[in-house]
Amino acid sequence: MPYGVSEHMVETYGELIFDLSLNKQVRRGDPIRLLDHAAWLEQREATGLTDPEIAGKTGLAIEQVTFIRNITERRVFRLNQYRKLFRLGGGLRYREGRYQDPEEKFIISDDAVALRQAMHFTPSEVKKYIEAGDWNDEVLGDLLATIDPDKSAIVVPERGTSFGELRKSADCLAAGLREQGVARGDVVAAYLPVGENLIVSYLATSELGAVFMPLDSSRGGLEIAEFLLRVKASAIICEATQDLLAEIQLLQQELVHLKLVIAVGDVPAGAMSYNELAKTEPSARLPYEKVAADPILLTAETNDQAEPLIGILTHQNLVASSRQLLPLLSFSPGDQIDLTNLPADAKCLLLIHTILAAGAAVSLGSEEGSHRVVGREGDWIEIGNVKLWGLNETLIALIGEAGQEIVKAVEGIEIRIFGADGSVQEDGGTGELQLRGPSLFAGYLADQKTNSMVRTADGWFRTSLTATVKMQSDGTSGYVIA
Amino acid sequence: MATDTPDFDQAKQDLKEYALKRGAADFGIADAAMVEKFSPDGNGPSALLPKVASVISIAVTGPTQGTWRAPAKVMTSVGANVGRIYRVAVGLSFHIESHYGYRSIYCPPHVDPEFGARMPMQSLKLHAELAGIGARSLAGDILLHPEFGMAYYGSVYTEMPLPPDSPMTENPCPAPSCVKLYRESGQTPCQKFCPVQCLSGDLNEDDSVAEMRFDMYRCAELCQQYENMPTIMERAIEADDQLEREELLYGAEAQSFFYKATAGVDTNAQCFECMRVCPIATQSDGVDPIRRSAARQAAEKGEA
Repeated sequence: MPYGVSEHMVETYGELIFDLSLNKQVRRGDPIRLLDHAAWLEQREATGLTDPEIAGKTGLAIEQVTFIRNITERRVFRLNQYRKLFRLGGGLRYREGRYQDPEEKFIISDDAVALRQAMHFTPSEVKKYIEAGDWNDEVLGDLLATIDPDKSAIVVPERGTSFGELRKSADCLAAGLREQGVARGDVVAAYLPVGENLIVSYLATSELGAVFMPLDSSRGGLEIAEFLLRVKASAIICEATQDLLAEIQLLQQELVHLKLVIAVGDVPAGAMSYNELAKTEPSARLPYEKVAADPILLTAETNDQAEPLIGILTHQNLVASSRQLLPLLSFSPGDQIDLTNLPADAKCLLLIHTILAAGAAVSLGSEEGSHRVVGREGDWIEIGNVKLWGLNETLIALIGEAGQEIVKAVEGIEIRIFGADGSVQEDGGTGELQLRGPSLFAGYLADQKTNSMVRTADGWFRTSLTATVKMQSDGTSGYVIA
Repeated sequence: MATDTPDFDQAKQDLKEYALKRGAADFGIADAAMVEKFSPDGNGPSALLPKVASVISIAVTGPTQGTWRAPAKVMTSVGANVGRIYRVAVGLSFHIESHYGYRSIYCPPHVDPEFGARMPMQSLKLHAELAGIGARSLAGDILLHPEFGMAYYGSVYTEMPLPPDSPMTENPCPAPSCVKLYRESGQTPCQKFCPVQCLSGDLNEDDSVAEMRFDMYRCAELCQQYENMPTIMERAIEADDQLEREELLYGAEAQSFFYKATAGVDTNAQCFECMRVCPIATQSDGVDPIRRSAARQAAEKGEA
């Protein structure tokens, strides 16, 4: 008990002493300059008293006043205010309400922390991708900012959406989701077919720093609910909500994290309207700090036991893959690429990203203008005379000509065929297809066992698929996937 | 002790010339009894020099025009201009003793070690105000000089009975442009742009200050960075998470503090944002070294 002061005394006298001290100063008029001693005396208490003066007033000892004042000052003191100065000066002035503490920008929920902690990349691989420029600071949101806002982004029968309109829709929906409490790191699921609502939802989620999980519309309601449960989703945006809601409500007690069910079209009880939410006026609130290494997309697969298997992809994965695909697919401004045959999954969103990045338009059943139909079979996608292979966890890793069996690695992707004898196979050898590259996902959420099975210590992803090496006449490696 | 009684008016002139020559921008004298009268009991000049007769206050100018325009974190590093105070004021105290034989002491500009970090040993502000070389502003009573803007002050106590000066007849604060903003928005620039919003107040109908309110405890969050450190260490000790502990002890905030503390760089008075938007502080005639130099050269040419 320093100087005979108890905690109770600090609580009792702290505020009083603090207010009487120099910590709060009020001056009325200009008494000292005017040598008005009476006026100065009259306001002595307001201008701040010394500790001996406070002691005389309160009946405490001077040492007690000093101790209580210092302790109270320490407790009132807010740390890290000094940071406010870092962005001021050189013409920039502080404005109340516009400042955001750097730490606040990165506050995420415990569930979002769990998602972040599930991400693992091999340090040597990360170094390689960054040195090669495969990974940089580009994020999904940068995409729309660079394209002429009047250009067509989405074409559907009898109408189109320009890049400017798409951006505005995403801004509005992001504002609506934010108002409803969706924050950085939260998971927003989408049970939507490939269409404008899916694209807007994806972009809006990205703007918030939240994580998007597209769910294939072929999945049943209970299955969807299990995915929502596994990722602790904050929100789901969906169509055909009656059946889905019924299933979700069965698990309502467990789905405590699900704050929002957002319905496109008819709005059943317990859901909110997508259309209304998408009319929210974007606020002037500070944008979130965009971090390209953050997760942006979750893949929703199932394992052999039909349990959810959630893969995590970052902005860098998506942007790197899109950048690799752009020259291979030769999309040009004015092209319209029809994606209606694709399921709403990570690869579909990658293609959307790539189409938009090229300044081309996503076509959804439009008969107008030139368009190239994309077909899909298993893990293969065909666009014109190009065929692409990839898993949602790897994004597009192999490319070949339509109708041809042999495919090659997309630039930046490393392939090896790992034989049953533990050796890397050469020409003609068959074994497990293993991949490494900047588009490969960061790992599975909350599934350490699977993660350790599918990733080698040096970063190779084990696909469990069989492939054969076919050396080409130009000396490059080709592969045939069984 | 003095043996012969000097001409105090002449001595005052001599001391002023000495001070200006060594870098002071202005010089004034307050009657020690008057300072005592406006000091809290036990905090007057006689607490340091029992037979004090005069309080000499000197002002040196603030930073350069380039510094005023620099990023805030640069100003926190090089904005203060206090080195000359020591040279002038300590020099004066020796000069008075050696030339006139009166005991003198350089008034310490520091906090009183008996009371912690927020109580000054003496009020240099009071000295300058009574000596007529500064007037209290709306910016937490920071003194402003109509010619030299935001000056830094130093004091010397002496037993020499020098003729005192009077406080300023007019207070330059608030400036007309500040009054205009206040009438439009309810805040003067210093109040509006303070990063911790520690300033508020009201003006009278005649534009004089009705009330100045200053939350010094908020200002301290910016200007007294050293007050962070014990809390940071306590939190580091209590942190459950290793990364959090490492951020507290080795993060940028701690690193920069320890650098400044060990390199002898100021860890206090690091925020200039209220003064940066003050027209008196930054735009008065004597504030700008470029304009001062031009005026001096013009005067020299005129004399030639």
